[in-house]
Amino acid sequence: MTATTSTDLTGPHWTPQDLLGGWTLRDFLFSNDYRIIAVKGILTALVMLALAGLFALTFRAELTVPDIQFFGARVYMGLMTVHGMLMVFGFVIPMVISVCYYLMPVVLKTERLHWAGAAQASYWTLILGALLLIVGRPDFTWTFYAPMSLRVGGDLVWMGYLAIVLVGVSEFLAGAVLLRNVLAWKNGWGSMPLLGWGMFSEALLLLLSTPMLALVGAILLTDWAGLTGIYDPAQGGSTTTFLWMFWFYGHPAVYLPLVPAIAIVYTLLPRFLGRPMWSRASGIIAFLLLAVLSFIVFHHHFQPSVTTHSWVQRAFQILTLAIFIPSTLHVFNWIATLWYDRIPASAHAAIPFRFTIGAIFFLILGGVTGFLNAQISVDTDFIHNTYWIPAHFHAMFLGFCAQMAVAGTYYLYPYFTGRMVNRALANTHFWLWQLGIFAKVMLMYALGYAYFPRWVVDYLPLPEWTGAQMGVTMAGAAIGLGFLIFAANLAISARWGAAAPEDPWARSDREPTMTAATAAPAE
Amino acid sequence: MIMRFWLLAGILLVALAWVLMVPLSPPSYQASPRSTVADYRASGVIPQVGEATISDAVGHDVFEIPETDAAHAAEETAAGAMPDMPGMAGDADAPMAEPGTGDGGHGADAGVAGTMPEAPGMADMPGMDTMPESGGADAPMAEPGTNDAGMADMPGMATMPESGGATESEGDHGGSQAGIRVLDGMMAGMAGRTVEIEMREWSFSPPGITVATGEVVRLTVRNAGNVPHEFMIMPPQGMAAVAYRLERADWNLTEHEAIFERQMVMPGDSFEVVIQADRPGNWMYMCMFPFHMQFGMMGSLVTEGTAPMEGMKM
Amino acid sequence: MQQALGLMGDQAIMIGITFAMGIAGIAGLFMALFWPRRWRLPYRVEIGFIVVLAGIVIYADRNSAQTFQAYEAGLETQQALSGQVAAGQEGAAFDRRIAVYAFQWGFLFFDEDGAASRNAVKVAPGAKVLFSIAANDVIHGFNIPAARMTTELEPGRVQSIWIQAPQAPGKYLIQCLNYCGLGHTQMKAWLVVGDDAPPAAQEHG
Repeated sequence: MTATTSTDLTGPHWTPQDLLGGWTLRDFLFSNDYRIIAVKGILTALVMLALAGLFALTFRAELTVPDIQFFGARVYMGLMTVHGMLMVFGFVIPMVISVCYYLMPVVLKTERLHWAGAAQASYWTLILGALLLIVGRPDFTWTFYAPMSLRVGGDLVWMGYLAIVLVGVSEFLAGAVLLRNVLAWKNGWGSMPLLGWGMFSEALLLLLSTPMLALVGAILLTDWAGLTGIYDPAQGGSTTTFLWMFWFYGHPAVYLPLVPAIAIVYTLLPRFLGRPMWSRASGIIAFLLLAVLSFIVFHHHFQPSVTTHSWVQRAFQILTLAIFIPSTLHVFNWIATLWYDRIPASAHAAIPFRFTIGAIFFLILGGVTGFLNAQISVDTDFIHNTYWIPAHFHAMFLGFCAQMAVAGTYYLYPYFTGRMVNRALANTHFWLWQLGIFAKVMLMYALGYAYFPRWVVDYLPLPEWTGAQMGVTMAGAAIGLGFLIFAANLAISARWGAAAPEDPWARSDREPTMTAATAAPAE
Repeated sequence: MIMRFWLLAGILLVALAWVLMVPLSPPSYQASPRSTVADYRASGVIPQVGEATISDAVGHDVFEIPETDAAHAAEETAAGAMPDMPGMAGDADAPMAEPGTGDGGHGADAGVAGTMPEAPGMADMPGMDTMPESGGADAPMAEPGTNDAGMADMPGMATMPESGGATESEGDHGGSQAGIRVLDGMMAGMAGRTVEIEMREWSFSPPGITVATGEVVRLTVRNAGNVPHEFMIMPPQGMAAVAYRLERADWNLTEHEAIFERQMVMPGDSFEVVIQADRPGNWMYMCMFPFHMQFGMMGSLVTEGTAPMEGMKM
Repeated sequence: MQQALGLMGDQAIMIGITFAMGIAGIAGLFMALFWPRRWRLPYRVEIGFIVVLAGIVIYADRNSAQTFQAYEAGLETQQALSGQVAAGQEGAAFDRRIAVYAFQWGFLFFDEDGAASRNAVKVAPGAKVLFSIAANDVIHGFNIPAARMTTELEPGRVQSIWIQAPQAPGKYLIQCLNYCGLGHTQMKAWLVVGDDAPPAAQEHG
């Protein structure tokens, strides 16, 4: 359990050790060791990914060609709902946060995860929520628009609402843990690593937005039971109230996986390149701007629904467009960091670094379209609720956030197993994912531009729809195959992988360059 | 150890969840909405009672009839509907098998069906032995006007003037086996009794009507629900074509044929239709908006002594 | 709404900017990775970069807001005229005024006389059509791909949009874009463009 900590952000974080083999199941489930909490979170998120991915491939099979082949709308929407919820709440957010749980005690020099009990509570609450979701099998989509969500689903639909409340509670607890650990940084805000700033923004997002999600879930529960009528127009409620309350959570929510993923990039790039980020200040500003703006742009999720052309709508439009600036600052910073000095050959070869590059690629691919989505005039054309939107968020969630979670997992792997993953398998995984995600995202953009509607089990056999749908299914299969290789690699290498060297990510063939964390490139 | 445990537990969980989600998925469900009609009608969001008329701007030619419909009709005629047409098997004296029992109806099994003990005695059908096989217009008719194969050409017979353009009676569906006549204003006066039908989400009340063969019945249909509905009467032969549409994306973009159809009954609106069953048999009435029928907006119209169609309750 | 105003050129510019930014970003990433030449960006480049981005953002906001206001102005004209000039008459803002009742699951269209048609509405080629859409059950969407216009409607509110009907006679798809229950897939209708002749081959987009 010795951890080598380094003041140098570019240095190794730990010594590789076979921790996993030494943990008992009892330890693994209930110990408050930060590494155990993080590894448990990662492995659980991977099970959720397997589950949600299998559901995706199942309903994708139905969409391959027009007409109903395997099942109807009820099964389809159940799969779609649970796919969306498990991917967002069960896989991508917990996984990036778990990777950060692992990194924080070393990077922020707290040596342990403060409030580990809250992290445990967060984990188990989420497990309960996921189980409720799978047993309840609601079919109200992950945005559960009232009053539709109050009328579908059958007798067990209350489990879905309760799961929403539990997700809110779980995320709130995670936010509290992150904030506590960021505040444990002793050396002042001025020198806090960018991971700390990322976790600080993430904690703000979690703490301020998730109570609203829990509240929305609770109101859905009472509305459904007939005790209140807040969202149901037939009981004197208002759908507008629902939209504003839900999306007040919903927009920060889509940044919940994004911000930790960005923080992981800021941690891995210096580690693999052996030099500090090009600009620390721009990273901090971008994190804070992103956190603040994320709370005041949510209206763009339902902008075609508003009948007025008030200044409020205009304000939301320009704020949404303004989000473009901090997110581009991050990417700019990364590219500038890559560019200002040689990239060691070891970095090009390292699997986590490759995934980081792939993730940045997809952040650009998914991010630029946000510029179109924000404009009301274009949004009301081919964007709102066509496949354009899933294309946009699959590029972001899967292409960027999930790939950074995977990069983090590959990076941490030698540190908790003492072994290296199989490179050939990992590279196969890498290329299957890059090609699969790229094909999937681009075809979904094309479908969106052709007005393919979201949430449909069947579609008209229009020529511009059928070929692309077939392609998306095949791309999905490639992503699924990549995941199977990834999971197998993790399992096999834990036992048979090559033993990790002292520094598994040691840099080689690099020219002497500045390595001090505080040194910044001069103008 | 942890890794192996996790792998096994994960695979097991994923498999269990998949089984729960796909094969054991819960049935389709949509709770009936609470009514917002009164409020929204007051504020002018939805039309007033009786305000809506039926437009004739859009003809039926806008909607297509899937090619499979003819095949389905032929299939059904050959199978499920067989008992209603003993003439087709060339054995007019064969007693009727219970409709919808399947094996009793296949052409090749007609002889077997005739010996089935549970077949109800319904051989006293007037005119059955003279029914044309395939609805050909050149076939001799037992009684002029009774055979609805000719009804498409007789506007007076087919439509009710007071119901406007949306009311129609399409005689060509399933050939001459429809068996239900929709009577016009003059003949409607013969109606012996009135049956009130209420439509709401997602049911008809009553869910079934029994009439005597030859009885003239006035149906008063009212939409007591929250959203528009429609009312159509279909012969059993139409059900395969309906089932084919159930979850197709182009449901609303295709046309379906029915004995009687009243489109667009707005919330609060009502209409009347007078019908007569020419012969024993069973028919269905339903709302043909997507999923309304699957959620329960269907009922059976049968003659006395006939069992409703199998699979009626979905 | 850009098509209704004949501003597809604006949209093309925006899509072009998006493409350009995406390609620039990806090119930058690959050059940083694989181009042998190393380049230490001065910090002032980032300042310039932010200024450029801010300029693009402001341009996009202004462009979209102008389009949006011009579009809304059409609706306001209609409101100002309502009761005085019937649709289609001289001086009217729109050729047709059609009320739409969206429900689970389908669309009813009411013409100016209150006559209803189910899942299809007929308009003349190139007509300016105002749709006043309402629902009383759940949140629905209303999208006409060929007219390039989408809206989302909340129960109990009348949502007004207007379109320029396609010039070519034919049948064009109208669809719901918000998940509104199990029948969402089937919530479609035809926009029939043509005079009295039966519609030609079915078209889309």
